[in-house]
Amino acid sequence: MGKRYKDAVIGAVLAVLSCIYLALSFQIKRSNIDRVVGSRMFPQICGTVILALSIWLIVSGLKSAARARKAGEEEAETARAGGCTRTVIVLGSYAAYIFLMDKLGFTLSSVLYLFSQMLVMGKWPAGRKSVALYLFISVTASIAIYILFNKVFLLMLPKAGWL
Amino acid sequence: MFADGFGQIMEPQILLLCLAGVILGIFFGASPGMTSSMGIALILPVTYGMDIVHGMSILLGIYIGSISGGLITAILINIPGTPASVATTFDGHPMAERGEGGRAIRIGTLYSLLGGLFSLIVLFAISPVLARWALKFSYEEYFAIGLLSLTLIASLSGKSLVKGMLSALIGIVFTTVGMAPVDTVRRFTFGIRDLDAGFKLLPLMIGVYAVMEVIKAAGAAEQGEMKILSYKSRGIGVSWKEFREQFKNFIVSSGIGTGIGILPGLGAAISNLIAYSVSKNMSRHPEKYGTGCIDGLIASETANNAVSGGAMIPLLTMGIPGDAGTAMLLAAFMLHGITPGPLLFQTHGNVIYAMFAILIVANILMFVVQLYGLPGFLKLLMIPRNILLPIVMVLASVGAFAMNNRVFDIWSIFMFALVGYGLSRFDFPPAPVVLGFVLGPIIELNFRRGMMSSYGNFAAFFTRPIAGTVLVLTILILVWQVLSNIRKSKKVRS
Repeated sequence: MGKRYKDAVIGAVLAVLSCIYLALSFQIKRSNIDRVVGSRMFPQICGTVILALSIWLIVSGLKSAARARKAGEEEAETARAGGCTRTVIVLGSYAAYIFLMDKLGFTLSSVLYLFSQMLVMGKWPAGRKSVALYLFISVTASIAIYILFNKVFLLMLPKAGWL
Repeated sequence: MFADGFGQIMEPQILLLCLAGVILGIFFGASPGMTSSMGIALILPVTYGMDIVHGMSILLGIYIGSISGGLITAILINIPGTPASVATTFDGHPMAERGEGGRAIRIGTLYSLLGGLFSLIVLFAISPVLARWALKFSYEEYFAIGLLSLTLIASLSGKSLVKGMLSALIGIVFTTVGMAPVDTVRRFTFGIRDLDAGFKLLPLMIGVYAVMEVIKAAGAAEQGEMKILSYKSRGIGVSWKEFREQFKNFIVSSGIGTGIGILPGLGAAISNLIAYSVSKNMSRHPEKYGTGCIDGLIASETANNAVSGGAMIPLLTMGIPGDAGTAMLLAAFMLHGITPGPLLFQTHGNVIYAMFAILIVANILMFVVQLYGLPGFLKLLMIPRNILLPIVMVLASVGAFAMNNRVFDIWSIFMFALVGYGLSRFDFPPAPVVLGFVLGPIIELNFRRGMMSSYGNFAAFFTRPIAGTVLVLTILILVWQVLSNIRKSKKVRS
């Protein structure tokens, strides 16, 4: 799918999602004040407006794509927010961090997360010195944050599942 | 009375406590995920053994410091420390990117002080009158103001108004998850108990802004563009000429911040976005906004600090907290045996005037600490992003966890990060998502209450003078925005 159809594609995705949202809104239980204005009403208004705007986006996206095609415009690669591989790694490692927080506890999971992120986001391949530095910072930062919040601010942080 | 207030607090111990509060507040404000209410809640137990003036000096210090502290990370690493500094990123970070991070912080700090002092002057001068006026606001007025605020999306939408509106609606849709207002019916919870309480603003802000910054930095590293930003910093940030030029912007933004502060339930999270939009709409050079112009930065930082004094008005005069921070302050008052309300000025006048004095001193201390701490803050820029941003993410996760002591809120950061990333790939602006998320519950709650009080007659909203005027204004702005958007796209096509 070309970049010029980007708006039409996201419009279609949002249209489908808004339809699902609208369908789900009909499953909201009715309460005894539903005769005036129930809990369904606001989601249904939002869903309908999203659907209408999505259709607008599809139509205007298709129109501008057709115009671009007619004019023979080259498909320009727009700047991406981030490289794809590392984006997946960044998001994946954050998900793994949250998952591990419950299993390994805050400190250990934070050490692993910080170390992996510093490696992923740094120059690749990382030199021995950098790896040692990242490891040192990961351990000290995790312990410092733990002490600050747990011991000073008396905030309970997630503990390891087996403890 | 005023001099008496200052007389009460001119003790080294009180000033030191206030300073400690301001420093802690700046730390909480600058850490994404930490908020003023969290800071006050954590320190509140420490104040049990103190008398009210000593206790309030540290708590008000945190309150003032945290509102302003958010600008540091907003400017330097494009991650708003608190929801109150989302709009600060729009122009503050572009300034930092071109090596003016120090200047941006100086300007932000100066206008934080001025905005805070402006709202305090209003608080001293006309708080009872304003409180009575705010009492006239009912569901219909709140609904109308919420709707009017939503029309400001146009200024935050970037190139496409439709995408801006969709972003805001996506923000609103997330607020419909959980217990419905008024009748507490479960909506879109799918039997997941954690969803009953709905999503919170902080995870949304962290997911949309902080994680996106990490992704951007990772992308830059992949493309070999990782760079350490340099900085320049001199003087107070603005020349006398610039100060005069920005005076109107300052007054309008202070007015917006104070006004929003007075109205309970709105708060600093939207004041910065609204002031930014209004400033952009008023400007002769709206195209400069978002490129690192000081006007946008001043509007945002003035308005979010002006909320502090405004929010004190309903708190002190009626005992109604304007936002989460003042709700914690209300708890602190009650713990010390003082119940805010109309009689407070007669029964505890000395405490009130001491508080006024503490607020002024806290604002001045915030200015001094941020200005003199600037070299330290700017060192943030010297830390490689692959080290700094993961640490920020861990701090943000702790903040999200601390809200309700549940890992679910950290999972919601992840979900909002996916949403934010998806939206950014399709050029949807993130700011309207935040605005929609803040305004959604205000609009729905007051719409439903208003409809119930008028037995389902929507026309009743137009019969109230304030609500009717605001609603008509909203419709006119909406029509004007759509027409000007159509005209603009026709011009682009031709």
